[in-house]
Amino acid sequence: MILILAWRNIWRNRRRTLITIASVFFALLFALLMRALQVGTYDHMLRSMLDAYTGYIQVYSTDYYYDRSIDHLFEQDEAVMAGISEIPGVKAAIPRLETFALAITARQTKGVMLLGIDPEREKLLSNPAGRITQGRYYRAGEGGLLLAGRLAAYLGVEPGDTLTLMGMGCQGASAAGLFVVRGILKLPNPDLDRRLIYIDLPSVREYTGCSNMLSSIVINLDDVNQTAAIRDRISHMFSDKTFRVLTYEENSPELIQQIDSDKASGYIFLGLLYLIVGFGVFGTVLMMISERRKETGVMAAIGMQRLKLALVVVTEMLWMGLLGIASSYVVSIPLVWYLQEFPIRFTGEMGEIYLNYGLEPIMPARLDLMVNLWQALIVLLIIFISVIYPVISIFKMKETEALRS
Amino acid sequence: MILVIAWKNIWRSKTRSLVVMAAFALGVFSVVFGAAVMIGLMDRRMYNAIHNEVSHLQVHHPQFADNEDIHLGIRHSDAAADSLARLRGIKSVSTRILVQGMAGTAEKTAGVMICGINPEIEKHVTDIHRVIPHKGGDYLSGDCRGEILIGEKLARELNLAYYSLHDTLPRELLSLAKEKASPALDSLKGIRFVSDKAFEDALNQACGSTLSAKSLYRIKRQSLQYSLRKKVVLTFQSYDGELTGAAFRVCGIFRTKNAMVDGVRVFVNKDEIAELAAIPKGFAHEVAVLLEDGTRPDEVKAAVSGNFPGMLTETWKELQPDVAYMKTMVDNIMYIYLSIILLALVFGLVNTMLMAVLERTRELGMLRAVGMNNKRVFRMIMLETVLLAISGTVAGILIAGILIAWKAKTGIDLSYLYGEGYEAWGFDTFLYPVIRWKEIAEAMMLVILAGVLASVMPARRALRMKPVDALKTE
Amino acid sequence: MSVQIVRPSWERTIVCKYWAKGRDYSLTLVTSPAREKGQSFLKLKNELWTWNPTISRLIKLPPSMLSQGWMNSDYSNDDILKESSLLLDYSHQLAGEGLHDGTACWKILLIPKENAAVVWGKIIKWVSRDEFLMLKSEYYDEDGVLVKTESAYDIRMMDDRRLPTRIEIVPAREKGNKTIVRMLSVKFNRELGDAFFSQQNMKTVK
Repeated sequence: MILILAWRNIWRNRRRTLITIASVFFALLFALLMRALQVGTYDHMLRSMLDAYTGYIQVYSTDYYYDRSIDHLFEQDEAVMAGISEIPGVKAAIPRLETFALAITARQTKGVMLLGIDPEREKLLSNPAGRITQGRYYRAGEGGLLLAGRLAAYLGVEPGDTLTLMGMGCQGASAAGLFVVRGILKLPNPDLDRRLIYIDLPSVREYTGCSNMLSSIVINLDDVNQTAAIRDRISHMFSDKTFRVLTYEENSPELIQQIDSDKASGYIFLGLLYLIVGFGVFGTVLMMISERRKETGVMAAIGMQRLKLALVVVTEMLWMGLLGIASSYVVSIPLVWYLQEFPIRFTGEMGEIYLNYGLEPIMPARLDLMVNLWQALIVLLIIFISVIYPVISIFKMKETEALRS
Repeated sequence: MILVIAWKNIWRSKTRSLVVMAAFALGVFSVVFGAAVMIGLMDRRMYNAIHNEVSHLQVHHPQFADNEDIHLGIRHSDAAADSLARLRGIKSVSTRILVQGMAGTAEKTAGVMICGINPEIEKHVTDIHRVIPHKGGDYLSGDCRGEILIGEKLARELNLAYYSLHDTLPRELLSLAKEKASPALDSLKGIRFVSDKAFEDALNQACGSTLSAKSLYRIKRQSLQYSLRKKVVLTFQSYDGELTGAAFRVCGIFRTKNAMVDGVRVFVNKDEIAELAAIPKGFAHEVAVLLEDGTRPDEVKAAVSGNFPGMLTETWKELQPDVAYMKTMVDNIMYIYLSIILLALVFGLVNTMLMAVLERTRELGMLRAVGMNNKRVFRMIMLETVLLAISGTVAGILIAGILIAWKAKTGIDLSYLYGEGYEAWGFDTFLYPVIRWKEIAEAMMLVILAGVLASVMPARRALRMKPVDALKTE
Repeated sequence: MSVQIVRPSWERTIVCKYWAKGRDYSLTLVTSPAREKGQSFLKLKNELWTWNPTISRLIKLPPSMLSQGWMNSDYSNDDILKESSLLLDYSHQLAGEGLHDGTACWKILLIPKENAAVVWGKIIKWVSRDEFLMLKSEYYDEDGVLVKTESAYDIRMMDDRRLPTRIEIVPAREKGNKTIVRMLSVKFNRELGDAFFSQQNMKTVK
């Protein structure tokens, strides 16, 4: 009964109603848009950073976790690798053997990071094959080195040259060897670009005398939100305490804090947005109610109970709110979906900067039902807050004053 | 005349006027505060890099970056630095000696870059003296012979830092302490753990369960303590090729959170290291310059490099291009957010003004029926809008200004948005909003303009109606 | 001589030849195991050079490399270089008597001089009473905590004099780690020209 009365009421004054619905419409639209962009950008940056080197989850021996020395490696077990790859949500499980070494040329000696990889599997993570700037990637069964750009420039090394490496091997043996440089690549992280050398696993194992050993297994996932859950599953695969399975957050907390502080300031912007759009709704409702004082006064005077009156007003608000939310979804969901598939692209100088950083120059949006639901709930909350004052004023109203306004 | 009517009109419908004013106030507040947050964030990112690492400009021997040989330096650096410091726009200049070497304690050794500085002058160029943690000792004193300042990462490598539970347990352990773990944890108090592993194992054992990596990280940060006044022997090759060593005492520990700085750079008295390493007088390896306004270092570059002929002068953008890139990227994203806020503001104002003006259809119809011509009515409406817009924006700017001024001192603690509390992150979580008058004025103009324009259309529509029909509206 | 490196999870023995002239010059050639064979180390006063035949490279060790153990043992390159500082950087005093491996010894306490560039807080050396052979050294840090112990055993006649033929270096903090140096055969007072201790000779010496 009240529902129908409220419905009829709101359409009696179309203009007012439409304006109020519009305020809700815009509130939700902008909130959804901003949130989608925020979530999308965050995921994008995070993914780019993790893809470049660290991956989402890492497996080490416990000793290695505390002391990254070549004495703390573990044996590669294909069954384990397969087991991890089969977990749903896992994009790839990638073996690695990392060790410190000295790169020696005629002119200089420099400390470098050797990253022993499986040339095929590594394509699913840091993808060195896709970053080659000079020379070429490994051919099937071939060994050799891939140098990071800045490092190669510093050492004066080109594809085809042989580079001398020296360092420590397994079990205290010394490691020394000559290797052919197959290609030079560009790494987005400038720090890594100055120190990293990719080497195929067979070569690095021969060099260090560590047969079939790995320093870590790095795991790439499809969806960052599943990280903790998948990590727990992998932990269960290792029954004893000699292995540690870590998420990227646990592994490099300070690195993540950088991005998180961006996320936090994003919340501030969202808050400011809500301030504006929230007040848009609130103010509109307030004005509407105050214009209808006379009308409500009449209703009260002719005998309608205050409670019923209040309920009618609240229901009217609800109708308008729902219409606003529904119409907003009709427009914003496709909009966000569009931005997700065809994200805003940065061109020119800005685009260059992104590419230099190894990031795709886009600002993606993320269509996430949960997120959308939350925004709608917040808008409903705003609507409810908006009616509190009118409801109170209904109860406090003196008919005579109202009639005179 | 119209002014008086407009003014009276405003106060006749308090609700409506207040709502409109508030809409303007909030709108301009959001834009100004948002911009201040944005600029503050941009500044913060760069602040660390500039004040703890590269300053605004640096001068080196052209080949020094490739091969940090002790002979590749700048002659007569002191005189040149003095004359540079007197130039306009230059805030301060410091000259440093850099020697590669090894730092050793009885147990451990590590490769370091020995940085000889004049502590008093250096205070004006970098903020190393400000990033000494609580109980981390002191900065180099004026005459700091025999003293050495090392980074936290290096302290840990050299076993000069350890973990020890205080009498008051860290928050993460308190809840566990209330349960059965209490006596076990108590027995751990005061014991020094040098290795991460030993500490974590002891904690896990005392608590009877494995603590999460996040909790452990936080507990470790709070339990980290330093062994100060320990002897560190520096070994290095002097200018004349002799292998030299000298003993120093750790006077303090610094923490810039940049692993390269914290783990590799150690600071000692410049004259002392010059003597020990037989470095010629006036010779230096690095000159760092801080400007009054660091946003356009390229303009000063020529003047600086003129003082050091034959040497390589670089701006912070060239020295740390990644910081510059990061800053641009983050700026970009925030511009987009700010644009969305502006867009929402415009739509919101349009909506609000639509409601505000159209609500007055009846009242306006009355005025016109009584004899006021359309033009005058229109002007009256516009005047009211402008008055409300100005008063609203002024109020908004005042609130924003107070909030920004307050927070600029204390900073906004971002970590609360994560419920993690200060200890998790430390110094970087604070955001200091910054805004300039120019931006405030721009924001104000923008918002007033938007609001006024937004009311034009509804006003015209309201006036197009015949007064008779207008009077019939509720 | 042979150097046996003992660690909790592995063990290795390196055999090498060692030539020395005074305290300033020494040349070491590794002869076993096969993987390390042919590597040589040259000490020229204050410099340490190393030659690796596998990569045909002669490298001068920078100060930062000095901290690593020689061939990854517990005997650090730094120790090799700074042997001469024992006399100059410390004050010596007699600190009583003691017994080591059945031999009566004098105990000598070495305290570093003010501003001496040494990391130890104190060193206690055991010197045998009858033959004045250095049989044991204990190295302490500033807080008086024992960091490293070097002990000598198996005193035998080698060439023209008696020497301990087995020296064990034991770090105090790392359980299960030690390095054992054994003298297999020694010749003293042979003529060695200065040219012997040269970079050229590093590559060809047998």
